[in-house]
Amino acid sequence: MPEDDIIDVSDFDPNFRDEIAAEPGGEYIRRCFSCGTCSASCPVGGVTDKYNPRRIIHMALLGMRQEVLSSGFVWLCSVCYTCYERCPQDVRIPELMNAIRNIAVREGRIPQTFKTQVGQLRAHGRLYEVGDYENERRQEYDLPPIREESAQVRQILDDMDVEEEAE
Amino acid sequence: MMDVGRHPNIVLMAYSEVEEIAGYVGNFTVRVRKKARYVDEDECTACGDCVEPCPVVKADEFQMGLSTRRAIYIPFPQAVPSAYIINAHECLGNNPIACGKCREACEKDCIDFDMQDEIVEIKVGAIVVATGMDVYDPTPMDEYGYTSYTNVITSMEFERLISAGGPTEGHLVRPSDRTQPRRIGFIQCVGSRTALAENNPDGARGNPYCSNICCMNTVKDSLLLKDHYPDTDIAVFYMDIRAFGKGFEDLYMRSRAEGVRYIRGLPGEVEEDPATGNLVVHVENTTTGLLEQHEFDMLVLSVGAIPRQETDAVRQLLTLSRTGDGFLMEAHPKLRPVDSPTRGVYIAGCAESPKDVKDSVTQASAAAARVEILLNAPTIKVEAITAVVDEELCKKCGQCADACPYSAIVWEKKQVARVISAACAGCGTCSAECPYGAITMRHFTDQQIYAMLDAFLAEDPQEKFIAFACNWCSYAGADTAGTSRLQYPPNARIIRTMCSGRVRPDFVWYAFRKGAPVVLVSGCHYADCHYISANRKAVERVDVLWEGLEAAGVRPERLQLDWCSAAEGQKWARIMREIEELRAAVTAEEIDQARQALQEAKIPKRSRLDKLEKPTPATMRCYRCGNEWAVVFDPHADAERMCAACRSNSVRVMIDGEL
Amino acid sequence: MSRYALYLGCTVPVRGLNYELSARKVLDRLGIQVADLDGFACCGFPAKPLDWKAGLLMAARNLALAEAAGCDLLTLCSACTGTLTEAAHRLKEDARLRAWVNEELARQGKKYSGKVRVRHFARMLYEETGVERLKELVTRELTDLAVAPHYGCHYLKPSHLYDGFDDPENPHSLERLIEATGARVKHYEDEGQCCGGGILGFDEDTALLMTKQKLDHVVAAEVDAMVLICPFCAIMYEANQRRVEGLYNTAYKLPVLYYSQLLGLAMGMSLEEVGFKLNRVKSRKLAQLFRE
Repeated sequence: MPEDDIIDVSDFDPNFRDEIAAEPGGEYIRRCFSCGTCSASCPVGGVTDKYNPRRIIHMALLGMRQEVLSSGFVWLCSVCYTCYERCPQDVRIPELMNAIRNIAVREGRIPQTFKTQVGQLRAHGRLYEVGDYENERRQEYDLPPIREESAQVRQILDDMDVEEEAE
Repeated sequence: MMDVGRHPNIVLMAYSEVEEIAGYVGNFTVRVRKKARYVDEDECTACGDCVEPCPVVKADEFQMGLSTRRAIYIPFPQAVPSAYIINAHECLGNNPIACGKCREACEKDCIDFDMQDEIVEIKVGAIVVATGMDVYDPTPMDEYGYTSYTNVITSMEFERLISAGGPTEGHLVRPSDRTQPRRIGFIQCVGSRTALAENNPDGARGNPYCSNICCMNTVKDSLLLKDHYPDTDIAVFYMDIRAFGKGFEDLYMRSRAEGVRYIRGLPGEVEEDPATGNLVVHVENTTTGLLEQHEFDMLVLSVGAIPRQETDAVRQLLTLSRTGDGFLMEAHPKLRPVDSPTRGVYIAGCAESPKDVKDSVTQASAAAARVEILLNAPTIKVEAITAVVDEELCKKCGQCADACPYSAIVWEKKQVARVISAACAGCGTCSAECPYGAITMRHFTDQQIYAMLDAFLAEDPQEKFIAFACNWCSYAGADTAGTSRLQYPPNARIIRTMCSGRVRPDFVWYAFRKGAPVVLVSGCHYADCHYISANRKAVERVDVLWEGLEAAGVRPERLQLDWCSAAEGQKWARIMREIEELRAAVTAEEIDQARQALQEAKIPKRSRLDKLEKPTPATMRCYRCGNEWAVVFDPHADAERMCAACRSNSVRVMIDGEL
Repeated sequence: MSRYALYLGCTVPVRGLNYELSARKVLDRLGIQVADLDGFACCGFPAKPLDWKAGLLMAARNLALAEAAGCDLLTLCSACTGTLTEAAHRLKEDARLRAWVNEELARQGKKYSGKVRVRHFARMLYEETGVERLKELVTRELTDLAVAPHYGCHYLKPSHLYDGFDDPENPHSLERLIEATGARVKHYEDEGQCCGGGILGFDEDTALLMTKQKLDHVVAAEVDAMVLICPFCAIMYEANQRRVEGLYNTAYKLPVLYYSQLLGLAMGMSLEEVGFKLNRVKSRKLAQLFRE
């Protein structure tokens, strides 16, 4: 076995599972009995071996906090809920992934694409700007104009401390 | 089976249904409907001449629908009595224009279309319930394709396909093209080990328990296949192989040695190649962590066991109870494993839980021995803790008979209620129910309980709270807390009753009048009542009391309810801490107000919830922590109420608006 | 509440005008009046993975607006449907959470008491309007069209949030709706497959590979169009179709229609009326069939 593949167990954080379980959506992580129904059902795992929900849960349960949070793979869940429906132990994997993402974000680990999205939300209250150009175009099709409501959304994002590092 | 049919002391009543059971231990009267089979079972020689002319062709249930039978048939070749039967719903009838062909064909003239159901009454001293189980139907787990792909079958169907008595006489073929499958996959745990949860609220996708028999059944099937068709490639997808019985591990090892591949991982989905009818199984091999695809000619879903559909009818006939998994509950899981809670009734086989042949035979033998002990005794001894009706006070209303979970109280209109001591288990639910105080519970009389309340609340009542604890669970839970040396506030004054169903609403009212800040009613976990269902009565009464307290201006939160098992010393200590917190928050003014108010106020007779007939939107309010959530409350669901936030059972159903 | 407010979300009013246009026309034809409320913003879907509280509050904000107007929400985007339905459920069931949300909303002058029902446009048609009523309004049966339904994920799952109105493993509602137009439904391999839109921003290659698989399967079934009900899915299968073709050196030329467009056509509307000009992939067959 090459040196790199050897995992040093002493670095594990045995409290990581409790940390996840305390996070809304992560409550059911301990139910997992590692049957693999999720990974065998996963449409993302079906096209790339970068993502395997069972393995992520297993790593989290072992306490591999650094690896789970620093690696990009928790962001690869497409939140399609296929495994959510099929999981025999109701682990609610998409919600679990969101819980882990919430923890990662609090440590400043937020992928660029989400930073961009937060920037849009702050600026426009929505993912796509609806300015004069868009409203004119809507008018062409007889669609009613839309007023952007960004101040209140910005307030929510500010209050909730969602990292602002947009663009 | 043949031996049973021939035995001089056994009367076999096939094709019959028990309609009513009256009486009690040693003296049961059983009313049985012997259904008309339209063929004289004594005359019929099972020659089979009647079958061919029958024009009605139906799927054969015994062969799992893999072959056909006629409307006149023998359910399965070894059936006893060995005689034909006509399914009246399918038969075209004796109208000569319509049919009647079987009758013409029967030389012995045993077919009688005028035969009627027959009601038979028999007297027995003891009853053994051995009603068996059903198998899980994998239709809701559509990702495995049972409904859409022809070559995905259940383990039951596989049994027929490989049985010499099956539709193919034991030649294994797959359903789509009747060729011999060379590659066969088995998926384990289909319908088992699946949590009841949001994505599976009613168990349609499986039940939480391990079905016990499926692992070894698959191991056996794999060896059977290897024996008949050594070249077959077999893969088994599993989570854990549970080969725990005598010789089981040996069998499992043999299966592996024969080349059967055991792959740890449950498939996510199955796809069919429409051209070939072959199946592709998507699975993560969890030992390597790699996703794999396996192609098979046939796929067997190893389906779990479920309680028989009629279990609840049997339960009601015999006043039995069921465990959370729906199977019948034994009187004690370790010490009385084949006794039921009702004296004189015993349980054997899969009616109690899924089990294999050996365990079923063991249990059946034990049940037979228990019956033997009972029937050989001229008289039986019962516990002295029973209910006694005071004939002077009895107003002949019959409410006690309705409340008794054992049907141990005999009552007819305008008659004084009579307790059958042999059937009485001593829970005291009847005594608590009687509006006239006409039923005395020996050793747990009203006077004794009032005396305890008086003594506890004589001095500094504001410093104490009263805890009613049932003998089997809560009181034992308090014992466990004590013997485990757990620390908790010492303010509780515990009153032991045999069951939480013994707690008369007047006891609670009285305690508040005497200045108790808080009263707790506690019993066995909802589904584990030692008196079948007597703790449901405790819930009903707490509901009534909450409403009564509220009407009298007393904070209903001061009455608490909780379930605690004998093993849950920790939980008992936690309940004590939580309730002590509630107690400390009750003010002197509140206590005084309750003292006054409850002198005048009457306890309502019924709860508003009684008026509910159908599921109704409601708010659930936890009286321990204040949590609230909305539900559609089903008055017939018989479900435990528990607060998701603090896990207490002090949960009141608040119906919005008028009823 | 009986009246619906139309909740467009972020994508539809900018990148799915054809969906909005056709849906409004169909609603009009059905005599269903919907309110356009001022002040709606994003449903909260993009915020939930970052901070569940922010996601929930954004959803609750929209629910509060609807409640104040006495409306239920009618949604076009399945992701919005999922986020808003989940929030509506949680806020209805959990009094503590509701209390917390209301503390926060109070600062924006809003409150939410848990009354709003959220319905996806297609579910509303299926459950409330009913297939029979739709058939009555069909003036041009689309019998010459063979289409592949794509349900997407959030329209069906998590099924408990949607009261199990359709079977997530073996759904049928969209199929019934399509059949009402007279068009033939063709099934294809791996019909439940996710579009991959959820990870497009994070891992484009993987997302587009998921899109490719679906397009391969649909094209193999030889259909005239794919029919869907979510703007996210449409972006993957339509807006990104050329990119997938380029990446994998293949050609699909698969028209992608919103169900509202299909229904509009069956109700006798022209291609222009259902906004077909805005569909990027066109086909000769569709143009010929609906030539005025």
